[in-house]
Amino acid sequence: MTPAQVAVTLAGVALAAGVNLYFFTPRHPQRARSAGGGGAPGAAQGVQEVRIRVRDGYDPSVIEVEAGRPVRLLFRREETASCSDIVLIPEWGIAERLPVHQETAVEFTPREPGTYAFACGMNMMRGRIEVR
Amino acid sequence: MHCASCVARVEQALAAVPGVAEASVNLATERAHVRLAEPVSGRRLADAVRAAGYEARPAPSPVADDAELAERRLELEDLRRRFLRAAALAVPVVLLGNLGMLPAVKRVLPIDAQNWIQLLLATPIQLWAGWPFVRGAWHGIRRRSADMNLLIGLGTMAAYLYSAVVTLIPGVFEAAGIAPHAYFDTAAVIVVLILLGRLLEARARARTSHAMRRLMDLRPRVAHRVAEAGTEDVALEDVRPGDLLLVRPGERVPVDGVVEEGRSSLDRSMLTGESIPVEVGSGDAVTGGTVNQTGSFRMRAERVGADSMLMQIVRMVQQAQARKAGVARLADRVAAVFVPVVITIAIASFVLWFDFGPPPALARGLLAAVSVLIIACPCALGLATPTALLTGTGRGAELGVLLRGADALEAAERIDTVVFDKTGTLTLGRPEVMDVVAAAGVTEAHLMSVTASVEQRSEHPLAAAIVRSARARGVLLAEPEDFTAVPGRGVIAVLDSRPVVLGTAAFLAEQGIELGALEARRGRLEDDGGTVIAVAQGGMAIGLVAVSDTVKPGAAAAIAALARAGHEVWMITGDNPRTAHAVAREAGIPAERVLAGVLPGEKRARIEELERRGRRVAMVGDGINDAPALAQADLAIAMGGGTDIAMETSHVTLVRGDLGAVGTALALARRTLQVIRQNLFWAFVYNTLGIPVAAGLLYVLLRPGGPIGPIAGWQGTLHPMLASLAMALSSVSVVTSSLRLRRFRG
Repeated sequence: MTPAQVAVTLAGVALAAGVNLYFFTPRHPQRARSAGGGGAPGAAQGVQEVRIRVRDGYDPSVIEVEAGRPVRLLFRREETASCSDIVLIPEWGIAERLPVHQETAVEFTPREPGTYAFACGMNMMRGRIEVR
Repeated sequence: MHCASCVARVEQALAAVPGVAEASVNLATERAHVRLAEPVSGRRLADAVRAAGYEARPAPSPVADDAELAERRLELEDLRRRFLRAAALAVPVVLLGNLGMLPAVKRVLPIDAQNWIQLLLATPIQLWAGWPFVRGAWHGIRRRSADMNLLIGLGTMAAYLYSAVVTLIPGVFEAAGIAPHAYFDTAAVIVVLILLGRLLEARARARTSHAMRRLMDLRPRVAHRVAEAGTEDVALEDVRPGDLLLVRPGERVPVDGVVEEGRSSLDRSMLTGESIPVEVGSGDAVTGGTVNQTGSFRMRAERVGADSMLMQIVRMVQQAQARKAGVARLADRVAAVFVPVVITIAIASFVLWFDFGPPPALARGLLAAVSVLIIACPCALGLATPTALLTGTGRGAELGVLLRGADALEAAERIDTVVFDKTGTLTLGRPEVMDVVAAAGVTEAHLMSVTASVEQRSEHPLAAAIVRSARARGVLLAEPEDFTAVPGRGVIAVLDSRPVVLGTAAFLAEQGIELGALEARRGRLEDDGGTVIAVAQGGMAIGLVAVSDTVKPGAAAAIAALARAGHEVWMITGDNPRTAHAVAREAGIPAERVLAGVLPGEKRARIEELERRGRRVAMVGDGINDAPALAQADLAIAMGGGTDIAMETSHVTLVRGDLGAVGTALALARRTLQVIRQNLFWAFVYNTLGIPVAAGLLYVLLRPGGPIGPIAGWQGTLHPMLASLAMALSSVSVVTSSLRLRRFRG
């Protein structure tokens, strides 16, 4: 083996390892914020809210929420690619269309702790909801 | 918003905004409806709500609407523009890339100059036309969520950047003994072909939701609201429950409601596939989207917007996508690890070519890695299920069959037993006069006149059937006097100052009235499943009226078709065995498969029993009374409706009452699943074969001097340009395959 081959081989192995480590390392979830309901006592209190930007994927794509409290995900789609025109949460039977440049609320109340996936219609863009 | 007082506060806040005529807030749906006297901006309304201490957002449109069309058009236009410009720029790049080596060309344009020209042309292709991939790749890396854009972005950028470096500093390559050959044509052609693939795919995909759009288009844009000053045309969105609306001949019924005044016939075929128009008159329910044919009528709006049946159907079709089929779950699991694995394979093939490949090893390794990245795009895999599901469920909606989702398809496929509920499912669910037997010397008209005159005072469901029948026969009715009803037994009244007794034979006997010659007929009528009402006037029996719930027209044919398709057909009912068997005979269900006298609470247990015996049971019921039995069955099919409960608890909802749709539903489910499986199979085959070929597996066999040797001069390598063509074709072919479901005829 020439030194160049050795170098390329080592670099390749390192790069492959890096890629896999990078993509398979668990991402840190973004914790949902309690939505301020304004003045009314108890109004909207307890609703956990997350804004998610939809463009080439979901940002953030990993979300942490508490079980038993209502969750509101506010999706804002900022691309016209039709891939992302619908968001699915299969476990809860949710399918919501996301009109472009508009905030679309998806609301549900998770009962059981666990990890639930959300994705686009083709399951190419994916995210995770971690219910604690 | 939690309580009624919040509702009041928000309503007051909205009503206080200048220009607002009326505001109503729904607590359950958290929606506010505002009627405006003059134009008011949504922002001002929202501000008013916020000032009251609540949050306000514009109501999301419940389903795909005109905005969707506009979006689609934007996307198509964007893709077309990128594709056309990139293609125009790519032509000279490809010509130079392939003819540039010819000595005649090299004399005029040295390689260096060629490379520079290509760099100039390829840069806008890569960084403008291909920008969506590059941007997507970058987002994917930053967010650690790898998607197909990452593969395409990496693949094209690798070819482009390598070529750019070769062009900028060719000396370094020449010093290392590597020919400074650029691969701009590869990067350019991949971008062009993938844009073309996306363009074709976006077009075909628009067609998969075509059925849903057609349903949406059933809504008229305006409704004629009847106000004190006359009728006014209002936008459909402004119609509120309680509004009185005028529907003219040839127009579509705007919303769901009840006819207040007028008669007409409605064509419901667009909504239910049912071809025979339905007569409607005062008090009848009408559904938005159906076509008014002959007369004008006024209707009271009941369910509007997202609550209407049409929108519920559209929504259900849309939500069918949310339920994954088991077959698709494998694809999902693969997709989750796919991209990093493919990148690893691409790196490995580069290294292997570099270490062991023939010269020029660097170029060959680069091309193999790019091919792997490009051919591996899991587009086809991702499209396989949703496109088929959308097309299949959309087609079903056109045929009056609503499939809840992929789980319903899988349940439907395994069904070998179909259990029908009797009342309202096999039968019309509404008693009708089946037979009228007049005693000797009495006319049928007289018998019906007496019976109906007395019964019009009764509230018994059978009474309604008798009165309806008498009216249909054109019999004149008189007012009875001294009306006394004995619940469950009969009625005594006075008509034309003569006593009339009607009811069960036993009731007449108690009154000292003998049936005589009619007794034998009574037994036969009861054997046929009818409820027999004996009628006496002036102490003498004058005849019998048999009322029964009649079997739906077409039930026998539908059941025969199910039997031919290999399904065992059963009937379950709370009715007595005699009535049940009479209905079963008429419908063509064997007597041994009749479960009669089953209490409502026991239906579930009987279904469970069938399942314990290894049958895969589809229960067909009306969705409300049969909810527990439906829930127990492997497949729940709810008849008729559009009611929320039916749609929620059932896998399949049949919009029209026609039993033939059961067979259609089962066949459509099988066909859709078949298409999904075929799609997934070919998508998997494409990827599992494509990746190793792109990596160079065939080269190991077909290289000169290899175990097989070149076939027709092909040494087994796959050029990235071919890989991108294969990738584009695979997506388009999957979508095209799904579109076959549009032609499903049941």
